Amino acid sequence: MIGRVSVIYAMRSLWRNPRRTLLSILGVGIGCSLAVVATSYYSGAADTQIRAIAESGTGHLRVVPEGWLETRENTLRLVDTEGVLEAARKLAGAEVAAPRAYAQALLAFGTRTSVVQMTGVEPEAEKEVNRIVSRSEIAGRYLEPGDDSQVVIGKALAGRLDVELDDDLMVTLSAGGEMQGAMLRIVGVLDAGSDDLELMVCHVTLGKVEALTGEPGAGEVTVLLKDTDAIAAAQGELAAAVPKGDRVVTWKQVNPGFAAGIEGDKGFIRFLIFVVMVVVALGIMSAQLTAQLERRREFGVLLAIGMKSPQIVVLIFMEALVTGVAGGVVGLGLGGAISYYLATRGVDLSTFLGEENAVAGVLLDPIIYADFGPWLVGFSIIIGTAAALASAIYPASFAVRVDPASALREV
Amino acid sequence: MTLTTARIAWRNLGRNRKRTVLAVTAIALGQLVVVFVNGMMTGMTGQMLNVITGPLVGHVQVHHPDWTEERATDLTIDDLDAVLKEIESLPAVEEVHPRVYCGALVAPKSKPGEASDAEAAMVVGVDPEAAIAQGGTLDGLAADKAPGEHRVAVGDVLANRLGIEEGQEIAVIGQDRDGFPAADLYTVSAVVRSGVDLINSMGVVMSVSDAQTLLALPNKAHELVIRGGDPQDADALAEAVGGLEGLSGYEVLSWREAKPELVRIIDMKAYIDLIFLVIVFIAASAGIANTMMMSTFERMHEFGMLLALGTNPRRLVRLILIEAVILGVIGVAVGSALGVGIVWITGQTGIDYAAISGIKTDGIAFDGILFSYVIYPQIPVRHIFYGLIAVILTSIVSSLWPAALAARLEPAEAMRS
Repeated sequence: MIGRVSVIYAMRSLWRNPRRTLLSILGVGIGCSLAVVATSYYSGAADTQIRAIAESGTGHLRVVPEGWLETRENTLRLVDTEGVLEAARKLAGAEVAAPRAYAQALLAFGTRTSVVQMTGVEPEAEKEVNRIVSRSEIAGRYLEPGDDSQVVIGKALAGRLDVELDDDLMVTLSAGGEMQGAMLRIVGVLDAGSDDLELMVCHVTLGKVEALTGEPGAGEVTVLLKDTDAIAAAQGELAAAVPKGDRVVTWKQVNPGFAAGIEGDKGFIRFLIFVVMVVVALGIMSAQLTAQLERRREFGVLLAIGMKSPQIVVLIFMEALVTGVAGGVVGLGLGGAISYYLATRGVDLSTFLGEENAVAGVLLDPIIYADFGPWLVGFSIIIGTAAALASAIYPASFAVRVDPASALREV
Repeated sequence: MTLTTARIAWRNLGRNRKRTVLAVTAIALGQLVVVFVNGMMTGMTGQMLNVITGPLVGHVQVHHPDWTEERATDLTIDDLDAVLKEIESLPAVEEVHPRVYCGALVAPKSKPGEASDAEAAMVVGVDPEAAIAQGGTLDGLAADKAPGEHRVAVGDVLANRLGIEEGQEIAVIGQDRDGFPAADLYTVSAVVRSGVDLINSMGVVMSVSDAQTLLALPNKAHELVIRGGDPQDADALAEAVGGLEGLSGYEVLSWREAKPELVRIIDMKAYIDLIFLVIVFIAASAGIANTMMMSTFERMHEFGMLLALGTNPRRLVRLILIEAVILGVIGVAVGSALGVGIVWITGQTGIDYAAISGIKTDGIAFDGILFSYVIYPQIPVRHIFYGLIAVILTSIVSSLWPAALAARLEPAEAMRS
């Protein structure tokens, strides 16, 4: 019963002071809408970036040899490549799993030389796992299974070596203490739209790297998942399935530089939203405080006619709760509309990216779409309610201290 | 009369201390956030610019016209001594250093009969003194460990891969500019961690003269790095350098042209920062406006009383506005003082952006150059003034509506409510 009377009274009290109520709701609403827009935009931007990073060769998950994470030593090989591949391809949420092996090599053509990290790939899988391959224009063709003296290189690399399609490149690398050499026919020149990326592309088949280095197996198996939210679960599942001695890591561990930026932004946004809501709560609090005189009398009367102070506290928090929820809904309406626009139309960053669309080895998407979904409803209402309830603590603490006799005596 | 009004306004604020404190807190918090976020972003952008226009890239670079695209060893700047002298004669030039680059294979010197592993590497010939200077390719390296005659610094990843340590000898094998095999032995004077990713993973850093000897490039270099006074004047500097007689036919680029990717990243960052700041700014001003409006609306009873006592409605509006301005000024002063304080402190200690997320990283490499996530906020004074003007305007505008309403109040009506 205590609750019911307070609730009814709270609603009436809000209704009796329409301007205060509306301004409180509007204040909370504007705060919430900013929180909604900022969070949905940055969450969308983070998702877009994570997808770009994962699809530019990093993968969501990667199986690497023990010790690779610490040393980044690309000459390490998986203990059991076949076993890892089998486990990765059986993983329920996996879209594609691609093995790779790397070797540092010196490419030479005439007097031109260039040092590259040669990547041995499984052509079919690589096309699916790596957008740098699938989204680029390739003059000639990409690798095919069984190619054992063919190479695909980036356009910028071709420029540095002054080579064309169908030229034969001399490749030199060291393996097991001896220098190995081979001639590779250029069957494809890959145009990724970014010199930065193209300089890193020197793809041969996995079998060719195995043969040149004399080391069997892959240096990593890169896995793309269907659902980005399932990374942690999939990591555990895959880790249980891969043979001992190999390790499952996430894109964050592979690419901590990017991960720190994305996570740091997320933390920063949360901090800003917190500050915004504190400012909003202060506004409501100061209005409540100004109404102090009026409400002192009101609470005095309520106490005098037999209401208990806990009921008054419930009453105050009920008012705040209603204000907060209503503010959250207003915020959802305002912010949701902007988020929806940003989610469907997107923010086009291509004017900044220009012709080049890669940053630090990642082929970016030029348009960022905000993350719009049902989660915004709960998010907005929780934030609005939290701010409104916080602002009610002070008036509530003051209300319980009201002495009915002296409150009524005041003008 | 205005003076009296101001005095009344001041007293009003003093009479209702709690409300004043709350309003000032809200305004101060708004200004604090604007100042701090601005400081952080300015610091971050400033740091990136510093790294880029520092000794690594310089303000202006000179290459053979085909060098940028092809990076071939024979694409050199010839007659180096004369060219350097000519560039140094320009008054705007503070320093100029030549560099040499070439891909090669490196192997630890093996004992007879023992196989040794070779690794692909990049020979970088630099001016050792410039390299160990602050912001240089070998920033932080002691002078006695700097590359010198047949002494080279090796990137830590490469050193680890080769299993070599300081003091050991390595063989560098490559092709000279004419395509003939070139090889020599060098002592590793230091294993380094540099701000240039490429040097960490593949770099063998030697003095320019050693590199010239190894690669048969007498009196030649691949790159000249020039620094003037202000990086913003790089275009003018590039033009002046490009106009020199000895440099005709060479490609002269300002840092903006030499590192377009980095410039794009900075531009994009500036754009995203602006969106960020606008959001922060709207939030701060909405909060302040809300506080001012609500607290003024709650005082209609008091305003009715003043009108009943014969206060001129215009004077009432002035009173309310003066209160708003005083609150705004105090709030901005407190907020700016706290903001500048926090920016100053964090500017000394740095904020590790990566640590927020608990991820350990050296930073992020763009275009081969490592940018740290440790941010040192800075505060240009003009930002405080932007905040000052905006906050005071917001306070005034948001109390105008209730003030106008108060002026038109029916005193009896207002006092009864």
